[in-house]
Amino acid sequence: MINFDEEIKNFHPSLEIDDVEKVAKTENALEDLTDLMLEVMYGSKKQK
Amino acid sequence: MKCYKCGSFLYENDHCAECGADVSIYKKIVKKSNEMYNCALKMARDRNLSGAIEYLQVSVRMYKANINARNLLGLIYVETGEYAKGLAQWVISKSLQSENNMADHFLNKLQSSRQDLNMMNVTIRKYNKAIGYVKQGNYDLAEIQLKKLLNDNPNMVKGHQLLALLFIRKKKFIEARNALRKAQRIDQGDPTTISYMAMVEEEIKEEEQELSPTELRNKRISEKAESENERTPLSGDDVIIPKSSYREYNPATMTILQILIGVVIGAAIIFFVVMPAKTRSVRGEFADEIQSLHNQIDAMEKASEEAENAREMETPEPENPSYESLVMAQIRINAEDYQGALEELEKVDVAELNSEQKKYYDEINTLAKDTITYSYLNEGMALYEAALPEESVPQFTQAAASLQKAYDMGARSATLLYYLGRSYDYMSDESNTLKYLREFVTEYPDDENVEVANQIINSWNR
Repeated sequence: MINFDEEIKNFHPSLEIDDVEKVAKTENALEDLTDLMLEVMYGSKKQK
Repeated sequence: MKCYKCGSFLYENDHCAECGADVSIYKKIVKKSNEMYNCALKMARDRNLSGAIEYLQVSVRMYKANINARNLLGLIYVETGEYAKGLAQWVISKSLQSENNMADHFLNKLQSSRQDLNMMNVTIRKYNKAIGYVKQGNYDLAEIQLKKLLNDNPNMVKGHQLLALLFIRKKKFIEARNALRKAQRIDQGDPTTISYMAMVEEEIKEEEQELSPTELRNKRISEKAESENERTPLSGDDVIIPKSSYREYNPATMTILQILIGVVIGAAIIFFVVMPAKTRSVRGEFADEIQSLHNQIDAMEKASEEAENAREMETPEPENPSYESLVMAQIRINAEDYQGALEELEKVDVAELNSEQKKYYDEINTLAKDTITYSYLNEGMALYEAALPEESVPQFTQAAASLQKAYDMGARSATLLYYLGRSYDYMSDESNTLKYLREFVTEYPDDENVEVANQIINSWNR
């Protein structure tokens, strides 16, 4: 049987349209594997 | 594919033709990112959107400039109701590649349609409101809110899941299953939907095991009817169109119906118009004849009556006067005139009577005589009793006369003989006294008055 109280914790408020820019910035700021590769290769991610 | 260092186009070699940078690892990463995108695209086409999202997220983590992966990820997010996440992916995609980008098309389309953006905002707010109700424990309000939101935007998978969870909490497993099925139509691979569905199916199975086959069949029928009749709640923009009562009838049916109506109207006209006129006509034709027959009947009745009267007038005297006397005697008896009855009976010649008549004669003769004798006896006894106190000889004479009549009519009894003898004794009529008292003593030796009678006889004998 599903534990309602436990399951409901997995439901969170959805991001609103006004949050799109903020989300996009955060997401875009994340490093990807190529960034890590460059960091490994050149010691600085800014070289990309 | 472009060189990460100088941005020039890369060929098959592991080094950039322009700057000579080693691009072998870079090319492997990008290639792997594209492979992930291809897998995700296949999954998305199979409606396994959750799986596709997983792959696409990995794809953009490997190579965040994978425009196709970002655009697809944005599209899938929007499809499942995650509008902000979807738009964010397209914004990033556009920032990475401003030209010749599919994201541009999506964003322009949304920006040109304020209605779509409003719908997204409203949907998200309703969902967040429902989440707030759930956290506050207002589950019914949350359910209502979710139903409204899913009516406006049925693609929000999280909404269906949350609604299913609320139904599960209320142990409405059928409704929960319906909500989860809707979620699965959008995203077949969502692990939350799959786990909820498995649990709900198990609960429904357990419930059905407790039902009899008939109850189970009825339940299935009602479930089917419910799912067919399932109505979504109305929103403010809905227009209620009343059901039209108009029906297109089959021309053949209409023809038959019209014929039937014509037959009914024709029958009604015949019954109410033609028949009364015909009846009146027939009555007119036969009125004279009927009157004539009535006159004939009256004449015949009159003739019959006259004949009857004449027959009565001509009735001859009865040929048997004894029979008539017998009838008259009965009439007298009916009038309690017994003496008269006896006088009539004296007129009867018994020889003229047949056996039945004779039997009847005997019956009424006995009746009349017994009645008169009894009356003489009573009268004589009353006079005797009245005469005793003063020993009135005239009264004893009257008593003796009455009792003598009874004796003469054939009456015989101890009382009659005794009191007849005693009456003659008071009258000093020796012969009659001795005659009746001796007869009394002889005929009724055990009577209580025998001793007195003997004393009187002896006194006269001395």
